[in-house]
Amino acid sequence: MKKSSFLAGAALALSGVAQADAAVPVNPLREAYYGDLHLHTTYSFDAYLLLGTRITPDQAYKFARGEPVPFLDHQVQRKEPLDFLAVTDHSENIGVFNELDNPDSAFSKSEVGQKIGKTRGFAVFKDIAAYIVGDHKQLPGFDAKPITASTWQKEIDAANGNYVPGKFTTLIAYEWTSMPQGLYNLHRNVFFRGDTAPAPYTSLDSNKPEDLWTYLESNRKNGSEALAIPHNANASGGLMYDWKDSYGKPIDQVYAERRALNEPLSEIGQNKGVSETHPALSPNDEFANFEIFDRLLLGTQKSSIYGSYVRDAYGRGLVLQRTLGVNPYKFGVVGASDFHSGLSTSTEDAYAGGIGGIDPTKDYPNAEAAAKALVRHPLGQPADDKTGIETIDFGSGNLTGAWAESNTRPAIYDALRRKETFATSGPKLKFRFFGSWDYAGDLLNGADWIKTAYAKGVPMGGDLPARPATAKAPRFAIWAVKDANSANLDRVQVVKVWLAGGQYQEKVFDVALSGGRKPDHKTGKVPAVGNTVDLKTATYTNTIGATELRTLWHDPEFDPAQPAVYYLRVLEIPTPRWSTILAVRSGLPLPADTPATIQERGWSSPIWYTPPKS
Amino acid sequence: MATLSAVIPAPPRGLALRRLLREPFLHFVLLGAVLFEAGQYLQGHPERYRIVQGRAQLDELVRNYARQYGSAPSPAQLHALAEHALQEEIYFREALALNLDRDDQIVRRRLVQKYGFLQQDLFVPKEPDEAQLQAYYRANAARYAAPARRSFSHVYFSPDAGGEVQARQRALRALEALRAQPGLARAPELGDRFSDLYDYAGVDAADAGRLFGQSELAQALFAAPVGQWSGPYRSGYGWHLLYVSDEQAARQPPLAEVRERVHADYLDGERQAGDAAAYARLLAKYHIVLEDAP
Repeated sequence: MKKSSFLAGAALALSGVAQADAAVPVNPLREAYYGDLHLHTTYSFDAYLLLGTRITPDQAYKFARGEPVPFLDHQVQRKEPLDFLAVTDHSENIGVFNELDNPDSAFSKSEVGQKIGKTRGFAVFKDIAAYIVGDHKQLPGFDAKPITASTWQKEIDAANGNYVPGKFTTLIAYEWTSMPQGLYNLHRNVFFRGDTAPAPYTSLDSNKPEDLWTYLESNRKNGSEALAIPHNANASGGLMYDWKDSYGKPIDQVYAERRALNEPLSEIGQNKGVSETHPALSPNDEFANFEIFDRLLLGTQKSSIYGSYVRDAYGRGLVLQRTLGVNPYKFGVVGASDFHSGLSTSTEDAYAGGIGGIDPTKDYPNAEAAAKALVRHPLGQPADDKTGIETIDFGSGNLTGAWAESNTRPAIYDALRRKETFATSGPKLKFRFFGSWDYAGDLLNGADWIKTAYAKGVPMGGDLPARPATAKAPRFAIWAVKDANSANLDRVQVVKVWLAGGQYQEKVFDVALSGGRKPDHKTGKVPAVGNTVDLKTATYTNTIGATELRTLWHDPEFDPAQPAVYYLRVLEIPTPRWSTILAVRSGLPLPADTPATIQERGWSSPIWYTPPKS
Repeated sequence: MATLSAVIPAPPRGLALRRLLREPFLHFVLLGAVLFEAGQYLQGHPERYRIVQGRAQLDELVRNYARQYGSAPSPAQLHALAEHALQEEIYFREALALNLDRDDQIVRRRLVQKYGFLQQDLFVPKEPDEAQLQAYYRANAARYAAPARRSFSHVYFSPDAGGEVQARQRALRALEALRAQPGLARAPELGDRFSDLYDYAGVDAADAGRLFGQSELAQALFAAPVGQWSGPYRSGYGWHLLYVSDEQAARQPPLAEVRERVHADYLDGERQAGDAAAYARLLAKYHIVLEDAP
């Protein structure tokens, strides 16, 4: 029965693929589609062992499509469907630990299975991690291959079976879990363009990204196109955007080319913090202190701030490009949940611990669990016994926006490839960002300005074309609109990173402000938008801020000799953080050392300017 | 006798069976079954300890490897694969000799699953005739119903220009003006610039939520009068006046329009019924003894 309905599903999906070109509406000027590119289900060893997650990839896709799925003893349903989702289970020993469900299974009876026994949680997880991050290549006395192969097939089937061209796109994907020395997070998610995929690469094969790229390149040669997206880099200990390769040698031209080719995007924000920048890296950016998570994942050791944040990486890329001729860190951005519950949500009020595996849509955790989630543990004391990490430091799910002609696999994948993407900390903010040398001053007043913007310039993720001799500075067409179900906009900013001499610099420009505010003419500082949040009820009103902001901006400090990166940051007005909502709903005091309100935001992929070779 | 090729029978005719017979696990099971039967006889025979690794077996290893990894194994890899296959075969025989297949949950589950697949593949549902398809469609009509859709034009009033209260008042004034000009079905210039379109066709409830947020407007769209201006209604962006120009009630498409889906669903239903019937026939062969709980 199971199989026949699966076959019918596959047949439908196939006929859907065949009709995609004819039936799916196409907008050549592209639409913003929203999705999650990082989600774990029961087949990830940590989701299963740490959290007891039982949601399968098929259920994860169904939930994201807006269908109800069973969770604990009831049904849960997403508030509104996502447009796309990729389930990215850890490829190492994928599906193997689920064998523990059956005490008679060969794995349960194996050495590791015996050791785990009925214990779950962080204690056993730490021991098991060695079989994932590559300290131990093999589970002793147990051949995992048949299980990992059949689990991978299930992942592929779930992705293909839930793909509805025009409505909901899925991508076959997995996470390669490289963690050198068991400390530094160098994970990458791998996404396939097609409806078939070779066996996944694992960190047991190698924990060096260079080897992952070899896998990607050889598959590409065989017709299987895929790309890798580095995990949120904050917990990488500075290795994600390092000056050096995995062997400790300075990055060379070949490394730079291969990285740019295989990793055109990076995660900028997700459950385990936001990696745009750090207050210590950007002391002049008053909004830099946002959902900062600056420790390594396991233990209490601090992560290096250098080489772990996106803005810093953009500067490093310019430096490397100057000497190598290629920019290894020329990447766009995506946002994700990285939840381990199988249920992807992105609003603050639907979040109650993506790691915690708590029902994200309906019932908040009971008072005891809520109290535990909202407390920061004194140093040296064990934190959450499930994860070893302070729950309060986690953020709600982030989103990826992709500008694509239609909601289909090729269109969404190609948007990722050309970096025409943006990320948000959760809301469905919508924004366009174009750069050009010759946009007319009244461009944005035209009814078909988007068509003109594409024709005469480049969208987010692109390179400014060669500068005409007559052009003084690049012009940027900027347009942002709020999420219809979320808060108003505070402002739009352009973040510029450029090279002056051998050093990279950064500056944040306020380019569009709500409420008719003007920067102070002495300090240049913009007055705060205000705060309507009622901390007693954890609610806000849209009586401040704007519905929509737009501007045509030119860089007033442009120097044609300096390479530069420009990206957009769009800020909402303050709204309650998930921890505030949870505290109010549970009748608990607000957590003392965590911001009660936050300004949700979006980040565009950049537009690059490269001076001509002299 | 006990070479790998000797114990695997040649594939009989029939696509389902042939496909099944390509499954390495089936080889495993068949080999197991045959060896088990044969094992009783072979005890004490030299064949019990004779294994042939010939061209055919090696070719099979190469084919399997290539299927998984996309290229042929190197000679060293092939050597390792052959060693592994040999060990597997020996362990397998020894395991069978000890009856280790007998109370293993995984073997049991796989066999059950395989039997289920076999059963399904052997059952080919009959193509429905016209009357059967129509009867099926009538019985499951709700599944094929199309949602209500509306086409409309709107005028938008942004709270960004002067605030919330003013936006609503501007909308009310514009509504008066529009009502004084009957026949006007489109007037975006009376309001503010909207970030998306002014005219939409064939919008259903899900589209409306996506376009305007979970809002008064998204609801009102399906209750507003047709052929006249109404509002103002609040969306996630501001205030709107609506002119619904056309509506398609939720409707039941004729069979011809959804024939392909109905046909696929019918066959799926038949397959499920076929499975159930096959199980019922098997069940009838068994004598089930229900014992009282102690």
